[in-house]
Amino acid sequence: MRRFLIRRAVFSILTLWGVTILVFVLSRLGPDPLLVYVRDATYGISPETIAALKEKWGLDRPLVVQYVKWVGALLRGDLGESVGAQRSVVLIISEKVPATAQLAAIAWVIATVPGVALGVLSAVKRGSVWDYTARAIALIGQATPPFWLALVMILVFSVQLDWLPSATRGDAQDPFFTRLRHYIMPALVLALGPWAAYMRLTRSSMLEVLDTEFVKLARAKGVGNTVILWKHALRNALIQPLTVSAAVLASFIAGAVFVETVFAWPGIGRLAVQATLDNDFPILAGVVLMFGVGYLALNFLADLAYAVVDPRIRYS
Amino acid sequence: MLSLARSPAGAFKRTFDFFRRWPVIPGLIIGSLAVGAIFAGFLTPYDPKQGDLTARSAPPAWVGDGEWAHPLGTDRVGRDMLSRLLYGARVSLMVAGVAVSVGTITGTLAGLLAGYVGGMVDELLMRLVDLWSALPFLLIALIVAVSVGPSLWMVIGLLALSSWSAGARNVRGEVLSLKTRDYVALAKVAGASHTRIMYRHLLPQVIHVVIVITTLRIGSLIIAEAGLSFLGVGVPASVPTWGIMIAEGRQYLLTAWWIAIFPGMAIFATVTAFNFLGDWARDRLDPRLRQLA
Repeated sequence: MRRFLIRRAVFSILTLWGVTILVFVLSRLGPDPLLVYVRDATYGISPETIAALKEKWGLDRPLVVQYVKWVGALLRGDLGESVGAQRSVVLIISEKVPATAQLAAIAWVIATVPGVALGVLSAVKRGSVWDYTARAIALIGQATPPFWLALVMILVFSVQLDWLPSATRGDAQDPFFTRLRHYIMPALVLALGPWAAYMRLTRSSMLEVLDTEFVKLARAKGVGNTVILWKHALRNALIQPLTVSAAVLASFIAGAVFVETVFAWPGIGRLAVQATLDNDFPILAGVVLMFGVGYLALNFLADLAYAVVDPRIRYS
Repeated sequence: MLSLARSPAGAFKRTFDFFRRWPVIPGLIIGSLAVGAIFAGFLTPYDPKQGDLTARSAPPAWVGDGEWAHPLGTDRVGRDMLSRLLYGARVSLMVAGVAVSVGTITGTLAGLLAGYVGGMVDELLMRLVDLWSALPFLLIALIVAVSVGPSLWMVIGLLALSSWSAGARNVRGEVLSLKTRDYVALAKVAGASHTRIMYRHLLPQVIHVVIVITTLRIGSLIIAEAGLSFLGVGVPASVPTWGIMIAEGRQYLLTAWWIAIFPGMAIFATVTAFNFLGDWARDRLDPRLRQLA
């Protein structure tokens, strides 16, 4: 168990290092490195200003020096200053984290609990109305672009029916339930894809487990159906959905970018898109690294959960 | 009473079974889309980039004062929606097709090599695969969009890069079990070179895995391309694509819903068709791949 955890931890750190290299290489891939700081760098700017700007961001130094300086600052927790607002990127990002974290947490609960439950139901009552309904929703969840679904929901629930607010997080002074209404649509859109993944995976692995010898033996011994389902089968069937938690988390990152863009949600995803449109590399790199750290940390937790559920991992 | 004559109910059941057994509808959707995309220039009289300012925001033919001259209506500058959808299909299918081919070929080669050679090569390649599946590709795409700028080839390259790892992992797993088989040992004894064993003896045995993964992957690549274009960081805005059409229609959701809604429906139909085709291929070729979902 300890070896397994150490291995995973070392790997997480190596991955993060890989991400820094990738981010750096990609940002210097273009014709002019100044582009990642200033849009269309050559237009209307005197050569002296360009030289001064390059010096300011250290772009006149050799690439290796630039990289080492950048990573050195990162290790000290310094993500630099944003180009536009000229404020600390760490501050800017930390202001936006709560909005995204709240949304993702709600969406995660919506995705996992009903996703796994419906997966079980759909496997146990195979061929029933439940099964077909759940599979149909999963199908839609996997084939609908989240940003389009968000627009359709706004059109239906905000414009036509006028049930829900269509944008922003609401005012801080508003009562709790008024604010909660703002969360419903973004959280549902964000949850649908992961929900579909959890549901399909739980269903297929549940079907597989229910067909194994040990479940048949338990039935032959006269173990009750409830105990078989929840104790024998589900525990084993959960391994599959857990192993894909990483992929599900990755889809949350992508989903947050789209959902926040459409619903004008003041979170990190929207910050990233805005930084892209403003050519603000320090913010963009900060967001990528932050998402990277968060992703790896959650992935590590998923590995832990995996080891708890599956003893074979613990003892190997 | 027993009747051997074919009852109407039987005919219904046979038709139903036929549709369940063969991917007729997905095939039709993808086929007509491909034809529409290739022959877009012949099928529509309109230029997808040239608007008719006298016919701006015309609704679809069956809505209000819509006309059959523009069956799906026009957008804000009077460009025919149907024409743009067909040209958009061209971009979507081309991007997803090229990206998935490049990704699959690379992934298959990496998987073959890792599984067959083993040892350090295997360890290295598999750690790279792990690292790759941990990368947030959308954000990486944003960085490239800033440093290189929006272009068709950038999108294709990024999507290809994002899609080799799943194939590599599955092909490797398959090769690991195949290479212990007697026929591979016999080929070695007979003096076959490593390249020949990989190419002639292992590759044909894993090709079904590759086909299944590729088909299931196309749908998500189409969504990814549309997403990048929607954010304005994918294909340049002058190219008609489904993602860009949705982004343009977003502002006019209240007054002209069709601009944003139809491209989304096109994406949904296409992706669903590919997913069905992938599921069908998986069940036919290798039901063990079910966990790929």
